[in-house]
Amino acid sequence: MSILLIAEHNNKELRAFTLNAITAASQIDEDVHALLIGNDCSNVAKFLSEIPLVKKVIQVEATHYKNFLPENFAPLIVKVSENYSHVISSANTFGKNLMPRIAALLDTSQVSDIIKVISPDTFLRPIYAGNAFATVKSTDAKKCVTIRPTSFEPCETSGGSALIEKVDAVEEFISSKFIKREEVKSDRPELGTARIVISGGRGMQSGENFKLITDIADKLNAAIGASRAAVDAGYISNEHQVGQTGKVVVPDLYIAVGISGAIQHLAGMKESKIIVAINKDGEAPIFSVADYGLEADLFEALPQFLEELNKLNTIQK
Amino acid sequence: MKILVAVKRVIDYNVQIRVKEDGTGIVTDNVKMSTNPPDDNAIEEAVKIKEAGTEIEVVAVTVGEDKAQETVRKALAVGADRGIHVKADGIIEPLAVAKILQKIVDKEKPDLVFMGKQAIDDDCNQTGQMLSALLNWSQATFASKINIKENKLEVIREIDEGLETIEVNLPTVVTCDLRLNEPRYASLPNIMKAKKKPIEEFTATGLGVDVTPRVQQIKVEEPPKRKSGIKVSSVAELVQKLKNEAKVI
Amino acid sequence: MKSKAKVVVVGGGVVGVSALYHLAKKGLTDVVLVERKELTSGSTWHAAGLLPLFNMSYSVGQLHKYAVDLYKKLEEETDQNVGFSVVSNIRLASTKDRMDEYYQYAGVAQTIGVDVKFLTPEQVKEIWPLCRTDDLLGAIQHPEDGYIQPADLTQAMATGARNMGAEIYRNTAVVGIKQTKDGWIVETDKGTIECEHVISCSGNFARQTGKMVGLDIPVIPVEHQYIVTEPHPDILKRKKEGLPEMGVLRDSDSRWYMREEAGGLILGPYEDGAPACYVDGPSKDSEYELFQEDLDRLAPHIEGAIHRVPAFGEVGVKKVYNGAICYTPDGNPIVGPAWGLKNFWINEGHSFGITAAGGAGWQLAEWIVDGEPTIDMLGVEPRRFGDYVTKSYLKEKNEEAYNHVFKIHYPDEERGAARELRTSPCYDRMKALGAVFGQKFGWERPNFFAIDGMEQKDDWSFRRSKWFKAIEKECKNVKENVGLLDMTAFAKCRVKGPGAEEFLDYLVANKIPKKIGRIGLCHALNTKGGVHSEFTIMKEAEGSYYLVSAGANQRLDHDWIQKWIPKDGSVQFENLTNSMGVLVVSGPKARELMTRVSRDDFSKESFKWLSAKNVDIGNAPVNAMRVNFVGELGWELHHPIEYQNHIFDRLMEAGKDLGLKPYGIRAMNSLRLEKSYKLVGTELSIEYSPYESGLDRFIHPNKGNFIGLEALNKWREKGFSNKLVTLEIHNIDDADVLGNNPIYENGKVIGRATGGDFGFRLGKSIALGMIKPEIATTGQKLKIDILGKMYDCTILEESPYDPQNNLLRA
Repeated sequence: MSILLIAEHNNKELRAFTLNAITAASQIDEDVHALLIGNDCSNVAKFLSEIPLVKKVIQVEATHYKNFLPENFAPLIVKVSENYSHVISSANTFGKNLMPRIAALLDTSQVSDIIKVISPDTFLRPIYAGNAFATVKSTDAKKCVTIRPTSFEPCETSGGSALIEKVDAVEEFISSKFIKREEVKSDRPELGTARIVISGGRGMQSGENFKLITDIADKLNAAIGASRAAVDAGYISNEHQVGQTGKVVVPDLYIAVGISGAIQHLAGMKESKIIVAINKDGEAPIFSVADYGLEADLFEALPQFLEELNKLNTIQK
Repeated sequence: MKILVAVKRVIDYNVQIRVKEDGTGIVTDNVKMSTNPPDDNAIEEAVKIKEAGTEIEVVAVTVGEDKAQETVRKALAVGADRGIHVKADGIIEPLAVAKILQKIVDKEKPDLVFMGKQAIDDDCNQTGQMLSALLNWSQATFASKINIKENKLEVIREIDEGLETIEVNLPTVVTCDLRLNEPRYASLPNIMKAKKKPIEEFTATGLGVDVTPRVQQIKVEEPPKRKSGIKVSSVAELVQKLKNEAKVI
Repeated sequence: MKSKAKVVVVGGGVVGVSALYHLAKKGLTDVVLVERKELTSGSTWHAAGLLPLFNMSYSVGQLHKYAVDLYKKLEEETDQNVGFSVVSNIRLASTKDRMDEYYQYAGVAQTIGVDVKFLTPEQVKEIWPLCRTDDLLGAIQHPEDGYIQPADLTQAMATGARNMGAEIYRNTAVVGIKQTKDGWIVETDKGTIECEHVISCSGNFARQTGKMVGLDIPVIPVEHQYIVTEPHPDILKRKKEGLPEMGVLRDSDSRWYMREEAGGLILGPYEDGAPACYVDGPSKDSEYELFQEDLDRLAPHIEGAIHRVPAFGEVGVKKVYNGAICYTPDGNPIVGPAWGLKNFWINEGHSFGITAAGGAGWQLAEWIVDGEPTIDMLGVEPRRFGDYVTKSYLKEKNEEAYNHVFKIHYPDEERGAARELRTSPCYDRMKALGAVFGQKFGWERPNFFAIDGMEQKDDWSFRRSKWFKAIEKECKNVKENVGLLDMTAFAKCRVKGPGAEEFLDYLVANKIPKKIGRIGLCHALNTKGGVHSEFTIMKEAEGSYYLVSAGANQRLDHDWIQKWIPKDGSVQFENLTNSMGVLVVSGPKARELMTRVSRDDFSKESFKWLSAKNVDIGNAPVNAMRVNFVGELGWELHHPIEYQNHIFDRLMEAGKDLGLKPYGIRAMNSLRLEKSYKLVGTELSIEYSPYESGLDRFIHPNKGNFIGLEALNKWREKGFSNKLVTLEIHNIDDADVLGNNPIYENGKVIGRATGGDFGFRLGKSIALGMIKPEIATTGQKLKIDILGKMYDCTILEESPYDPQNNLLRA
């Protein structure tokens, strides 16, 4: 069995979650080949070849691959995947957008967002916003699987020396055109991989008040998250949303401030190692998943929290 | 112009689901069901486009058991013109749904196909993309804003890093995000009227689609329970515990 | 968690929390509540929160009134907002019968002290501009009524209870309840609690809780839906302009309630076809559960709502809630002691739980701490249902109770579900003779007999209807000839043993019969001196007594006896209700009739009034008791039930040329009123001392100790505030007193009627009533309200028909 792993990147660098996907792929079979499709992405190819778990890198270049349109990627991947048993990618928006297109073209029933590899054809995946886990077995000859990155460790990135093979591009799909991308740049750790996340909810009452959260995030070197309610109310932009239809995060520490704990939000963070809840409603559902709950007015508690943090001598980074 | 909207009947998002004791699935008997929420956004967007333009027909389609027709009726109550129900029982995988929708697309020849980006029961997030592939159409997933420009669609999509704008030619498949619009509520007279509108019926086998699942569900279980937590009485105590007990800061 | 407490309340909805709160308020602070999940997570959380003061029952009306008054004060007491919107409540009427119902109700309201106003359609329009009023006859308004936030109310009472020292354990499920010598052990999944009293407030789990102690609790929930709309511009406009909220609107004839909600509207119909749910109980994980909506079965009521309030059809439906509401066979909750078990209390079957919770908790606390409730709780008595209430009976009756919430509650209604359940042997014979049946405690009983030309069908009304003429015929026949009445439904039992005489002497306020074969009318008082039960006691043999009481009170009366019976084995109790039949013959020709069917001596000398003899009728053994409830010469023929038809046929055959005709319960009621005879639940109640009810000659305070004597003596010293009188109503030709009618003197309410009818032997419309003792003199002129109109009435002497009792002693 050989595993075709679709690398996610920005042509200059590999995106972090590809490392988790590689780990997952290697748990299915050790013969993992990374497929890199892009434009002018040789740096990334080199980086991939140094990953010990990657046995081979397949690099395909073309200008029409520059912006990762699935309509372009899918037919190429279908062609390359001929002798592979599995096609794997991470289940973030890149993978979610792309993999089903590949699966349909391969007439394969995709398995999405797995959290565990049980065997090459059997996986564990969350359903109903993670309120249940399903063990599923794929009976298709070729398997298309996306993996939940936070459930797998990122792999080692040095010590490997895989061959880089170049393959021809296929025809451009002209009915779709990339216009632009607005990336929200940040010095902060990325929400999906941060060790500490502090999230604000409806209780923050305004976008300005999120400053209370950002101050603490700065101190803890944490990523900033938000509930759907806070994003809907316009307090913060959508890429911060944690939840069933937002991001799933598993930090070591998740601090939920002014978040009631609706099921949809819990779906995105309940696997966090330690959960702290700060809310003035002692009966809010978030307290039932919190390891430490503080029933307090967040407008008093947050400044106090910052003060206490400043008193501590060292904070793990 | 014709817009085909696919809707799915799922357990209501407010319900606390329970896993069946024998692990074969989720309890659905006597449980409140409703339209998959992002599908409500899909219908709303289609109806908005219809209201803003002329000679636009909105057709709602669902795949599932007989009761699934309720979601089509809701779409009709909110402004869809016609309804289609493709009868299929049991778990129908996204690939099978995509194949069925492909047959419906072949019949109806819509210019746009809308659906929610993800169903809140199986959380697969596949159907729209698969349908698009089978039709060899463009795809615009996780749409949070749509602008129609002649024969093209300019779509702003929500991605991990922020927002991406693409332009796709018609016909195309769009999967909708919750932030696309605010779905309207149907008035009772419209709900009652919709009950009398005809819904065209097909069967999966009649359309020539084999819906046998390829992915077997071996078992379903509850996630491991978290250990219960404690309430702290002050911020100072919280910080102390995080540092010395949990050792996370 | 405590391992010992005085009282454990099972269930943390608004009902359980109110019970806990009231116990603590009454000074019983060593009390705990156990809730399997979160407070309110059963039905309370999804309730629409309405607080209807309207209820045709005197008991329930009092409970609701108390609650509404309490909820107003709760915020001050607990510092927690309960969201009580006192927006008033308007009930509409589109038919004359509905207006009659409101008039009758207004009388009840007057006597409880509930403020009710009658409105014209124009006045309705002023308050509810969005309401169509041109096809209305009128409306009533409760200014004090409104709606509340159920969860907030519950939390406020929980806070109040906790502040007083009570404890609440959430996420703690009761898995068993075991009886001990002095109380109970409640087993939970977190430990056990030893206690004296248990109160079951488990809502949808009522039957499961009951099973733990071997009780078949008559509660099964029914699905109820309500629709919430998005905001309507007209309502938003009103809010902006600072206009008041329009209040709760109830279109009774269209069978729904409606109120404002967040700028939109809520509509809650009580439709036909709503199914019972949780028939075998909710699942063990159930919480915050809702069912799939079914707008189809609401369709006629939605149309009615759009007709009445067109705005309702103009806005979108935000959500439809379909959740379980508990029901009992008659739609009133069950609040009181469980039968057969000491210190186990039932507070279940609440279909207006948000309102009733307050009053129910209040009375249960009184009952537990002081030993007795302070208001007549018969309307919500758990023992008003018997073991004929099977699960399948429950399902049918509860679904019926649900769809009757807005149907007109005629005083003579006999609901159709689960009928022909318990029939006495002569049922078919009575039917062939034209009987139109009703039921009491599951027993079919002829209410009246259809006369020539009449359809064999009932005709309900607040006024005289088709059966008026029918019972006139029956009453006149009893007066002139002889009538036959089936009273098999009587509750009957035997109390015997070496300690029986002493026990019965202690149980009742009268001297019990000393000679074998003698009969006494005896009353069991409760510990506060009010009248609890009425028994006819016959001494059968040394140490053996036969007791008869009203069929509706079988479980209540027998439970009372068994709870007081000494535990040393010196007294045995035997229920004979189902093994003995009763046929009553009454009228001047009764003696002639009896001599034709029996060789025994029925002469006046040999068979005195208030005596009993074992006789043969035909070939059947009969215990003939010379008593009756209609004031004529007559006998109650008690017989082993299997002989009934033999006896019936012999009587009918022999009585052909004597004019023997059957008569029914409605005629009986008219006849007894002419004799000023009293019934438990109306003239007799725990709220009245026997002296107030005119039972003086049946009470012997000097005979020795009996239950309630001490309290009665104290009461007498304090003074009585009521006296039972018999009234004649003048100049009325289309209706009679139904009961609960306010009685006036000089424009002030000085009492209420307890019952009434037309007396055919007297040719007068008569009533019984409780009024202030100062004006209770024969000949006093008063006024009485009948269906909204005032009538002159005069106090008559007691027993206006044959006051010397010459006829029945003949």
